[in-house]
Amino acid sequence: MTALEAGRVHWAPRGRLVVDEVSLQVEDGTTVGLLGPNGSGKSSLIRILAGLRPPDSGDVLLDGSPLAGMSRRRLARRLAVVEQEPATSQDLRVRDVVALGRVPHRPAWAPDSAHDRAAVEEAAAHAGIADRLDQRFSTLSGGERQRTQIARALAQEPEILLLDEPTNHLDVRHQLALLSLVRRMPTTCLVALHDLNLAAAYCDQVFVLSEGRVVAGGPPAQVLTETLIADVYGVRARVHHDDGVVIRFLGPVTS
Amino acid sequence: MPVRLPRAGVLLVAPLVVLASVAGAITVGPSDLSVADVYGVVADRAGLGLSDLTLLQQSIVWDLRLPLTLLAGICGAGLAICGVILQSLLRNPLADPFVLGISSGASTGAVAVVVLGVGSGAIGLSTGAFAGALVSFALVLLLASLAGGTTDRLVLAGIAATQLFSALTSFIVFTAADAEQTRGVLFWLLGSLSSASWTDVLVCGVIVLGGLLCCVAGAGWLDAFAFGNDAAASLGVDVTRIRAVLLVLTALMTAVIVSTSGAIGFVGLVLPHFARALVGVGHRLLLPATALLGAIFLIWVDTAARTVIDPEELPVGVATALVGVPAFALVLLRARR
Repeated sequence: MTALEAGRVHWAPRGRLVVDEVSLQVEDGTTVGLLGPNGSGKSSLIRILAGLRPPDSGDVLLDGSPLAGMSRRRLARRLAVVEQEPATSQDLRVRDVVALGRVPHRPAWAPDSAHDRAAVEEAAAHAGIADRLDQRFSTLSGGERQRTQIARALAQEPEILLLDEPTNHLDVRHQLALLSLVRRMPTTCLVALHDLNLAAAYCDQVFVLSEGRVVAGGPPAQVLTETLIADVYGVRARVHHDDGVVIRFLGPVTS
Repeated sequence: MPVRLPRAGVLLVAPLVVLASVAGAITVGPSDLSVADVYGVVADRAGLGLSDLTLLQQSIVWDLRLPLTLLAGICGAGLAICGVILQSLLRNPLADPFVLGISSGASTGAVAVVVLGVGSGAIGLSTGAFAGALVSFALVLLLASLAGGTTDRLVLAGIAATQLFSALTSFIVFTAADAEQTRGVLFWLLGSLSSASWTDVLVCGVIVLGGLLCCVAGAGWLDAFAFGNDAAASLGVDVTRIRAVLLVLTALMTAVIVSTSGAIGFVGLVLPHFARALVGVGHRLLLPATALLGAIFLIWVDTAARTVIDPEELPVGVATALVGVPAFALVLLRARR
């Protein structure tokens, strides 16, 4: 089953080409990595796939039905997004942030139900921040903030979760912890990532973007080759296939 | 361990404080009145008994003090609600109708109606104020977004709009108005409740109560804006529509309040921060709590303004600024971290 599918998605705001005829499929229950250098269109593609930006042409299908015809609220119950470093001016508690995930599930005037509260607790436990719920969001470390946002996304009870570079600015221990959390999650995940070794270790499939185009897609062991890394990133690398895929970077490509 | 009042408890206690404030504030001022006298007059008018006060005293209560106090409460509530909406939607702890120049725009619109004689009566005044509020609001948002849309840019754009529309108000008054109207310019620039009438109470009351109900009905959507427009959209909020509706509603409430009481500053800026400290950030409790606190605040500030330099009456806007500016500074310092 295909959970999320993009068909020839094209987006060029004010004539600047950002996403160029992108087609990709995310299969049910898998963790899929979206790779590519800075400015290759990863964040824009995630926004389009999340229905936050309408593409100029092409379709995004969620479980076979087009996003274009779907109400925001219905979409928010099926698909959740974790943005890059979200910030707020308000003094929210962690519980308030996670509870935002329940907004699409109840009328805007209604108080939270017992089910809402249970979903918040469960999501927080899953993301490993159950003991942080009564703390201020502003006092959390970077890793805890990302976990809080993931808990919020889980509280939405989505079928699919889109994450935009969730490991940014985290130290290596927290990067690994966060991605194994993503990996353990029951939902289908599409994760934009910078680190090719992390992608190789945690993703079932990867798609590589370059200048808005998908240049490769498939299992990381097949996709992440020395030629591809040289072409897309302009970096010489050695790819070892001993215990999983391990990539060692040697330096910039010299022509 | 300190005993904490349950958050919803604030909503039970605050209305009682509002009632007590209304009754108490009416008794303050020249001519000796007690809370029992006030009750007597209200009961008399409602046909539930006779007041033993003189007709003059009855008139002071019913025609002057009661509308004045009620209007103070309603304006305080309305301005505070506007502050909450603006702070949440624009994600800016310093947003408020006065700081952003919406009040000044509304003043200019209302003055144009009075002095240039376009339309007439309370409705004409409010319509002019509404037009002015929308124009200044649009100008501020446009200027702020062109300048990069950050917190400080929005406040700077608001300062520019406040200066512009205050100058326009003065300009209209000094070029076109007679001596009587010229004295009124202070009313529009500083805000004053002294001309309160029952019509004002009714018009403001209906709009502010309606506004409050609309906002409480959309409380969940307002919560969703905490992390910005995209985050709200990904939580199922129709961002463009909700933003437009709420911003127009804010302009409308500001306009109606300004057309009856001039540009009163700092209520909308300061009170939401106190309310958040009491009931948290969820808008379902925050909105009514802020409205009640705003009402209590403005009733007592106005009472103080009327009596502190007796027999002169200080315009209430001067008093709110004297209280509000230190509080503004406090918010500014907290926003820095």
